[in-house]
Amino acid sequence: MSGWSELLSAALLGTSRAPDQGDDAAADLLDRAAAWAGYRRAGAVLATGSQPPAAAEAESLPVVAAAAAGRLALLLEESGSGATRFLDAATRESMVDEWLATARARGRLVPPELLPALLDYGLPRRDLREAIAAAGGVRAQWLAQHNPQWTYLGGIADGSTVDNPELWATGTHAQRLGYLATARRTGPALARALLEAEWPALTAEERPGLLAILREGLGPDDEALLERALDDRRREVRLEAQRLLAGLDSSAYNARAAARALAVLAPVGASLTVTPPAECDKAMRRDGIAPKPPTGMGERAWWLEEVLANAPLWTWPSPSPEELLGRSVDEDWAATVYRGLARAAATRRDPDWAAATLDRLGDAPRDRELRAALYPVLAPANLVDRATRALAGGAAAEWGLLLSHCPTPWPPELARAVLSGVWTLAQQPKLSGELYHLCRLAALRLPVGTAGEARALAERAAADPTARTTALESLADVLSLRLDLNREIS
Amino acid sequence: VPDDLPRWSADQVLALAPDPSSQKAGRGLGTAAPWREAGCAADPASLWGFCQGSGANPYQTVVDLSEPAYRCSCPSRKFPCKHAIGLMLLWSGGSVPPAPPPEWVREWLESRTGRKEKAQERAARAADPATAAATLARRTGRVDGGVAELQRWLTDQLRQGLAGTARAGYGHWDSMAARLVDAQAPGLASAVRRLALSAASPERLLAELGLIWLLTRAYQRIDELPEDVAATVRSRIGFPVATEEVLAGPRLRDEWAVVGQRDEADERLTVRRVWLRGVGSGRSALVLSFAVAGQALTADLVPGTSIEADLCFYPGRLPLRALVAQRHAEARGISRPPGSSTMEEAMREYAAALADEPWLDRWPMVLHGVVPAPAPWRLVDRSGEALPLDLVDPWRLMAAAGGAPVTVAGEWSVAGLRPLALWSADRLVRP
Repeated sequence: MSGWSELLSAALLGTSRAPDQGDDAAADLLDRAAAWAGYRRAGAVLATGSQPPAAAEAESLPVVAAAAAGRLALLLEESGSGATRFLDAATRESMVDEWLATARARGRLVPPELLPALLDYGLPRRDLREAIAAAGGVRAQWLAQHNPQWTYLGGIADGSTVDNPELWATGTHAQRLGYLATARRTGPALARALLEAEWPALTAEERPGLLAILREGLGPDDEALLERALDDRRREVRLEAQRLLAGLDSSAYNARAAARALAVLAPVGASLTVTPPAECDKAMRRDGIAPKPPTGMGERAWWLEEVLANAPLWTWPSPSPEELLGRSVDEDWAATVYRGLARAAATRRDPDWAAATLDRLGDAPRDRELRAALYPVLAPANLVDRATRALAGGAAAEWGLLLSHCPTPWPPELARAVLSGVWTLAQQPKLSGELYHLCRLAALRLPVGTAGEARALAERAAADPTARTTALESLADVLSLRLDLNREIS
Repeated sequence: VPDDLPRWSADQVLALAPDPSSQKAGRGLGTAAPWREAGCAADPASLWGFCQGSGANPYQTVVDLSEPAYRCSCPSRKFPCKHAIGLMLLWSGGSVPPAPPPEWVREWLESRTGRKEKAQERAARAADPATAAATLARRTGRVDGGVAELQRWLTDQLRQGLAGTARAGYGHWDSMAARLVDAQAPGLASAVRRLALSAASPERLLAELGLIWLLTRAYQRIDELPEDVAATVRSRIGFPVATEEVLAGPRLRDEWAVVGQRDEADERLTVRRVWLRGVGSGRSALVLSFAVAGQALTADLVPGTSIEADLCFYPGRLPLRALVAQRHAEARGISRPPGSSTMEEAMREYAAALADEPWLDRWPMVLHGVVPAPAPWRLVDRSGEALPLDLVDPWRLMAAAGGAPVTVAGEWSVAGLRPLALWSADRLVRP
């Protein structure tokens, strides 16, 4: 019997083309091929000398029960069927987030076989990554080491993978970023020294990202480098330096801004004297004052607003924001002054100043934008209180913004106000858009304990011929799903 | 109303779904939110409920658990539809309370009992021996003709050479396969149709052609072959074996572990292969079920459980396909199925099986102490020996094992091992 490879060449060529072959050559070839096929299959030899991957370390937390695992698998699937019209991609994403947060809070882990799907899900969703890392346990880290696509996980919870000085010297930009971020976490001064030494040699593309690493562990010792960065050619670098210096209470940058602010707005007796800047000089521009006003606004008014917005709130030697804002001020400049201070409250995230300036803003488009920026800064209780009042007042634009910023799950008094707001809207056919909007907001933010009440409302609406029902039912459905989700994770 | 209706597991319910999209849709509905007035009863074993869909009126869904059979007022042509699956999942999770069946449910259940009796009468009439013998003689004549034609076709392929065939499209194989279907040799027909999958590799193509050739040669001298080999040849050609005949044969009682399940669908038919392994006997068994596209497959054998049962094997040199003749106890969960302790042992078993049945295209393996490893994807055992994996996305497998030795059950073929189940820390994971 000739060998398999000779047989194969003969078969490829065809017996009709080979010389000195009889009529039975094809049949003979097939006979031999059958024998060889059996021989080769039965005699298949195993590969040897394979090294399996190193085993993942044991988890310290248990995995969730089967029902919870099934729920997560369903949420992660691309095109889950909508049992309810609110269950679109955004809602599902929020429920994945809730699932992960609940699992984390209860000390439970995602079952390992779901990790590949979850890690893929996290690829385009940066907001979820930290939660994924927490609920993924040791196994997720282990898995990420084997798939380059999932290495994003490495940077979140485990800096040890980038603890390699070689990377700072010769790595790619991303690796240098990773190295410096890790170094900053373990030794802020050393990381700054590394950056300072390298600063003149860095390209314009590298500087903004590397400078931003100083946000973590920011301290007075960083000021010299940041002052240097204020003169950078690249705008992103200057902006980052301004942001960081503003965050250092004792910085010279803040002192300069405070002095400028006191020169334009001076508390004199029981009133505020306004002296808008006469010019926007080089030093002001260096500290981030924009020289060019938006269209329709005078230069001096704009500089006034900018100077106030730029100043730290400790500039104002007043017992409280309320007291300062309560003082009389020149009517022509009042709106500009409040706006400037409101902007300072928003960028410096000061809840008291945010609350005080909010009520003094007007109704111009820029004031509305500013209000939206102040809501997230408010103390939670203040925010909830305002949302509750806005719902009672019925201004949809206002409660929409407020509700979307209220801490979740909503506290009981807000939940009550929202459910009663839902019922009021359900009875007003003209306000179906508002009803839909409110139900959608509420579906993902109400505490799951209200699922029963929401179902009761939906049933009450179904029994009432004048009430609208679809949005209420969807609200009740999503809440029951969330209730199931919460009960399952154990 | 008795409330001791034994509940099915969610896996068991999902296995009833006609396709993955119904599974997905059903799981979406397996939650209390869309259901109203759901109830279940033990006698007859049934579930029912109203499911609120996108329309104004809720759908009425009812499931007869004894078969199971389904009815739903939704327009879906799938059986079971997503509503029936959702309802069963809800019940499986314990969220359907016992209740007396309402009128509309009772009516349907009663109409079904009537139909079942009529079907049994029809089956009895078809089993007349004289009719059966005539049918077989007619069939044998056709198959003889088909086999002769196939032999001419095979030698033609070799005469012309395989170099050109490698580029032939599906039509090349399908026209021969269609002629074999007409000749009532469906086994040969599907073997020829599957050649298209090997066509890209001349090595595989030549091996497959040789094995089909061997089958035709064996068929021509079937009268000289030992009875068991002849039975194997007949079944590979595609002669049917009556269920009653199989059930009349010897029974093998054992605790049978369900080690894997795989569905394969073409445009007309879905085939479900369920692999069993005897805890006491160490024997492997294959239980097949079929369903017309869109209809449900049986789901009474659930991977990760075992049943104490009598099996009847189809005749053949290597008895593998079997029917469950009688169950002696309810299925129970198993934490680790019986299997081969090393890969070498598994390969030896495979070689022995091939010696009995050269046309064996899939062979079940249950491997203990193996680690899934990436790039190239393979299973590695503690001696460093490795088997290639035949899986598009093995990450689930890799994640579930975490680099630690696990038990993997799967189907071995020339393409490698297709994992069907993995046991890690006493938990079954489907790849």
